[in-house]
Amino acid sequence: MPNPVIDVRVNQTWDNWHSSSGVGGTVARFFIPWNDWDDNSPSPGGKPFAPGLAALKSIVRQAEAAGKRVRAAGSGWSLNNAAYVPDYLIDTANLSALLIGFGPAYVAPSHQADSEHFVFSQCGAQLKTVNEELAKKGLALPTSGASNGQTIVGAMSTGTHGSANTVGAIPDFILGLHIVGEGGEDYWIERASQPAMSDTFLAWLGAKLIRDDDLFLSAVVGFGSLGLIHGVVFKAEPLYVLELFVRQFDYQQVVAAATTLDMRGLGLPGGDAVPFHFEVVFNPYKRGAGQGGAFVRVLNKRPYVAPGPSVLPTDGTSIHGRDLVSIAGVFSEVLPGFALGDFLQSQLMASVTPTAPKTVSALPGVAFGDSQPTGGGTSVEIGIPINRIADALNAIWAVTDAHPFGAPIALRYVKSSDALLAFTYFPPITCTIEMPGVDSAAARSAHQAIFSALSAAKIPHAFHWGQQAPKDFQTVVSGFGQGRVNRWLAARHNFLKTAAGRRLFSNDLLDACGLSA
Amino acid sequence: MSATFRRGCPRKARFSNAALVLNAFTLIGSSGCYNYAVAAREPPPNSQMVAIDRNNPQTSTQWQFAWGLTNEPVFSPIVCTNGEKDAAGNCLHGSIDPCHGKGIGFYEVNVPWYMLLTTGVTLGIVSGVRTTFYCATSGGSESGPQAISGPH
Repeated sequence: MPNPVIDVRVNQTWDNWHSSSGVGGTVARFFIPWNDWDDNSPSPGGKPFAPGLAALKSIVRQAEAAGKRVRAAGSGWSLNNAAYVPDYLIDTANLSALLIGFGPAYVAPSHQADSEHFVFSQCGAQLKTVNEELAKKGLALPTSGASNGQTIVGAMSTGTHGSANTVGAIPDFILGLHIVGEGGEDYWIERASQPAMSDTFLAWLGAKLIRDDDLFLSAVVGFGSLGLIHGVVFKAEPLYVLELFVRQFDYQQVVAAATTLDMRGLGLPGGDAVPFHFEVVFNPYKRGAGQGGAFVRVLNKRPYVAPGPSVLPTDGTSIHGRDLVSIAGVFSEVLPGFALGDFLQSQLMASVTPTAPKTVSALPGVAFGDSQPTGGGTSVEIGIPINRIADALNAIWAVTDAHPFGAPIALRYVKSSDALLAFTYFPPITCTIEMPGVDSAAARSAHQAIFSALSAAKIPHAFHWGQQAPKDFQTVVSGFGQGRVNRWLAARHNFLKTAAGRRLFSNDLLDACGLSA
Repeated sequence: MSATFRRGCPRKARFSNAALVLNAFTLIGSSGCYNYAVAAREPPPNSQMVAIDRNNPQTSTQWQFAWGLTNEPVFSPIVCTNGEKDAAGNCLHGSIDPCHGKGIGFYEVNVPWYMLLTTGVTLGIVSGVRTTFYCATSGGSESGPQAISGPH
């Protein structure tokens, strides 16, 4: 019996993509598993992931034997230590097997007509890879985040989202999870209320079946706390084109639409209907008339018609604008206050570049394209109910007026999630408010002031698991409501039945949140 | 096509007013940020930069002498399985492809300050660069199981 190939680095330093301050550190054993056997023998037919799965099982057993904690890291996109543990950390980048299209017998009866749209993705597949391979088969992800370098499981586990007000976030289109838990045993977990796969699939996969709504809804946004997620299944959509439209406005021209989703008067390409993706980015220091401090970014879904949109500019740039965290590196507290608004405006013009009156079409994998590491960038993001947006903006402006810091304020609108600890859980649509910037004393101080102002105004809010959080981690947990937290804890206890097992799949962030016991 | 991917350069430095100038000099001089990179792209239709494993950089230092007249410019080392070599430097358990057949997705050349200094002091007689490559991670895709077969 061959062994899976696992490279091991001792005392390796790990950091996140943006090299954010305070994220990562030394790892006692850094595992790099591959989808290869050590004797170069082929994997069983149709299971290119078999060596990688065996590797994850082996690493879990090694961690249990050594009394260490273990975690799997994706692309390091998170801006906090959700992925980090100093004991045993796994680099999942090479576990990127993708199986696209299943026979009808492998999916639940209710899905058999669409079985060719079913995708099994191994944990380390980056969204750019998934996009690429799906596009070759005329398919696409239902939604994604603002860039494409995250792994699918990393993005899912932290609740990564775009602004898909009819789809939700990435975890919301996931149908099932393949998890390696205590003892290196693997499980297939899906909702009891919406089974996705069949007994034939279970027999093929060789995992134990658990159909349990709360367990699925806990693990799908579980940031690695219920075991190592080896793979996921989702249903892809027919390939579509995203038609990008960006227009610059004054603050007062946009604030009504931003707070109510009433699109009248914006002159959007789709008329007054709420677009597939609607996003508003404000410059907090340019809210006056004639200052053009609001940028509306819209994406409408259009059917793909061959040969599709032309691809990329040929000058080495990759996308029509950048994700907002990627502009963060240029800001710092050294900028004098009077210059902050102008400087931020110039960066927004480069990253949310207006296209109006034209639209620019791109495939999903291009519209949410490559991003650049910032070397210290960070961001905070909260989800709030849509009927409290105006109150939240007023609270934020009070802070930014008194304590300027170099961050735009970006609002997106995401269909609410059933996942118990999804920060987009506010029905029917959650407004997410993101403040990307450089990690500085001024920014940290302003962030804390904003969190306090939201609490003082009794605005319900929850924090994104992949971004920076308040110093008081109990605040993070309380944002989800005790009922949801209790259900999450109960599901985790039922799945990880021993204290040793719960410790195995925990880390310092989980400890600080009081979620690891 | 190029992009920056500057692990190792001190871009993480946090600024304060008093330390701004010092940090600027640090940025320029401490580890040398002459940094050049090439990122491969996927074929159309998406044409994105290929996915890479950023956590597994393969770094080496290469020196050339006498203005480049004496050295082979191609560096193509054999990587031993588990890194195990005998006293003569031969692989004990065979060699491996460090990218496991997936190829290089990102290549970076960096000139650390001490190499720059060495080149200057020796008037170019001794010159070095640090090269790093990152493996691509995509293995493509295949179809899932279609027909029901026997027990697996």
